[in-house]
Amino acid sequence: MQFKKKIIENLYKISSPERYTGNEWNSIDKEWNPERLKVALAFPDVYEIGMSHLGLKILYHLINREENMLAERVYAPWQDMEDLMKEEEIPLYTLESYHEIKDFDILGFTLQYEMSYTNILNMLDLSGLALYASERKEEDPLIIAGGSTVFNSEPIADFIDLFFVGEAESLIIELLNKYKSLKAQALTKSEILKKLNKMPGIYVPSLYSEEYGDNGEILALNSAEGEKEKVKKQVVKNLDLAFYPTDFIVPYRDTVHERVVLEISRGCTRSCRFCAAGMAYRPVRERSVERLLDLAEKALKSTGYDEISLTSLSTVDYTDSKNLVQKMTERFSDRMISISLSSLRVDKFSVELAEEVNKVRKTGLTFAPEAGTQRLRDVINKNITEEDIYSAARSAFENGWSKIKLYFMIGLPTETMEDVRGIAELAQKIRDLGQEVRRNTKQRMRRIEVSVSVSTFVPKVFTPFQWHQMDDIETIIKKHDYLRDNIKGRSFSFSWNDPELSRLEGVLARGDRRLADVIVSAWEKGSRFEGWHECFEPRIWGEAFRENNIQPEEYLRERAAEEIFSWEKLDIGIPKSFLLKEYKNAQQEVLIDDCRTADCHGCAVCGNFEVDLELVGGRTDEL
Amino acid sequence: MNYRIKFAKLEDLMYISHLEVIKTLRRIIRRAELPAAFSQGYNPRINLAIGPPLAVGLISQGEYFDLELEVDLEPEQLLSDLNSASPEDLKFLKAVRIPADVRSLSSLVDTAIYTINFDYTEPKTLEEEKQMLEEFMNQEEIMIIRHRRKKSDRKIDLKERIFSANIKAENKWEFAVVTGSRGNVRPEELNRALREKHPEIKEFSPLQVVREGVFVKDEENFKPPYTEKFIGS
Repeated sequence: MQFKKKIIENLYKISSPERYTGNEWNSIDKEWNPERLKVALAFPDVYEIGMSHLGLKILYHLINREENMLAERVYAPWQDMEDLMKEEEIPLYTLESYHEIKDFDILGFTLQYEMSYTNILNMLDLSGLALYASERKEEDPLIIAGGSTVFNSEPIADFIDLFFVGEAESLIIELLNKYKSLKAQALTKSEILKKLNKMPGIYVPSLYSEEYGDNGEILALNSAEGEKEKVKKQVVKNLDLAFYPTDFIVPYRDTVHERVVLEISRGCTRSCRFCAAGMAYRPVRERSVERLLDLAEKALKSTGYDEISLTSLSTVDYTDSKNLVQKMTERFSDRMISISLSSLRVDKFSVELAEEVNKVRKTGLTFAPEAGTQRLRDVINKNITEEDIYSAARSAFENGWSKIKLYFMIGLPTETMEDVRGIAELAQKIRDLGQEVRRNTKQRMRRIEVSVSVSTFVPKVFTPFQWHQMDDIETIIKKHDYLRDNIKGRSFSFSWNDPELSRLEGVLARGDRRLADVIVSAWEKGSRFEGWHECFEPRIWGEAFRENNIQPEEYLRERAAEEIFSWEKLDIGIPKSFLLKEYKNAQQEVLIDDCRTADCHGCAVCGNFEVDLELVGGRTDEL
Repeated sequence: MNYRIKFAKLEDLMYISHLEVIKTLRRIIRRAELPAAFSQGYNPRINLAIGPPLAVGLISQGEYFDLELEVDLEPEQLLSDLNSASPEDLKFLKAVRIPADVRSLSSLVDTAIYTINFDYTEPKTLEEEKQMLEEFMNQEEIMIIRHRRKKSDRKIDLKERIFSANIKAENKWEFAVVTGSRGNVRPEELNRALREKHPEIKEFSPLQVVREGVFVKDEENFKPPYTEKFIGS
């Protein structure tokens, strides 16, 4: 059913009504004919966050290209909208046709971070659907999910019918077509799911189970008879040939990224040991400069944006980055189009590249040394030296930047208070360096500002640190207190994450299926939007854990080397032995190089996916 | 060349705010690949000046902005270029060449005309409605509490802000009210003030209101801001 009039008539009562109206430029409102498979693409956070998610943009346009399918969008309603929907009996609906979710064949969630799990439940509930997959009806839409936290989706496995593991462009259309034809054969949902589980990258959680021991440990992971034992991640083999949209939807409301987003490469082989994306998105694949220029031209024309953002896990690692940036500025600067870079590394080359795109406006530059001492940076295999940091900072100040933002983590393996002190010292030295440059320059330069942002390290699955014990609350607070006392003064700002929130993220990030009931309890008690600081209530979660007899500390402890992990139902293409070896390397402060320039370290990804690293600048030792 | 451009903002875009409309206009101009003039400075932007804001949740048949182009384009061509790059419910209706030193929309425009269809719990005749309006307008003052976002409530007199009021047809009320730098009146406030006297009027819905447009008060008349008198050099 559609409720457009009722919705429009009532939206003036709430804040930001334009989150819920759709009708944006380039949105696709296809006709609802019976031949079309109808997919609702859901993002479990508010509109302005969801609209900035690249994966969802790709899927939306990819599916809508198909004649026999349509895809529409739905985002999590903010609390005031949820109240209005309940009061006026408006079910969750999509922004294109205003159809309620129950009218769709498939509801697909993008999993972006653990803190959005209660929003997923809320969206199911507002759609009038049962939370647990086992309680949903035959005629209810199939609930599927994929995205970056799919690599440990076990805490929500009970709510989802089917997961897609890996990069969706590779297989999503095949999956949807298969589903459509199976449904036409009038098979039951469970028969269809069994057949779909035969496809690579498809994980039907109801066909798998966990066996627990007396002490709560996992004894075994079981798959139903005849089902594959592990689900292997799917990747796009040739990124340059892969589909990429240019007719992006242009939101009216301010969103996080209001610009043409160009993904220049995928994957990163720097091997930072804490980084989930660095492991999960291997191998490295790059788009060609020609294709990127062509995509930029088309997207600018189609959207009317005045900015292009070149994104990837590490922009300067793009093997032809200087040429790319030069060609982009050459082509677009006289049209008053600005170019921005994401994820700069801490080195002089990054500053040069930033200088290239930022000839006039110099706002702020962000560096992520991650740790305060060289010893700890070696533990995490960050592969930057103290000297890199200072020369990057000096170069930034000399080129006119006065604001520098530094990212660090606390709670990394082997960290001592010495390393925490190192964060404060590094920040002070960079500030001093800036002030020295400012004193000696003839140019006008604004006051030096160094902002230090410290997050608490959360061990992530399928990384070398998946075994590591997370800091307890007292330790985190002690470190925060130390930094707050030592990063003080007019030229500094210091920000940190809520320790309770980090701890919850830690529990969910390495969680298993026993957490499903906890998430339901927290949702029932009103938990929503945990990722938004003002919405997070630790008390609710404390009660939810207690009521379900779950000790959250159990999920934060150091794991034994041979322990079976809940997430090992999936295979990301990197053997556990490689990760364990890397964990040991970390403890011994042994560095490994980027395999694009050095020898292969045996992560086995290339062989497992029958791909080679796709580097447009070629393999070179000069990097 | 400078242009004064009239546009309508209709139902699909009724919840888009004033600032979002400005942003959208800039993007439409880029998509239409019009040779717009840019502002000077560190952060060059398309030179564009818009009239007084339209409240979020209302549709309008007559809003305006001034735009500078690097070339002289036929107004008809300019309109069709803009419309080809614009969402269906943002319609460009008229473009008029104006001199560069023209009085700005924000200093010129002072009147907004609204048509409101009130819903009643029991039907009213045209005569009854005329009676209601006459009584309403014959009050010494029409005091109402204005609720302001993030600010304290304030008491205001609607009477001095209403230039004229008529019943155009059955259930079709027309109010000409002050807008811009000299104050404004929200249709929801007219509804509320009337409902205090006549509880049979139903609660406000934005779908009952159309802003017919913004105008310039010229003695007893309301004229569009592109009238020769205001743009003649």
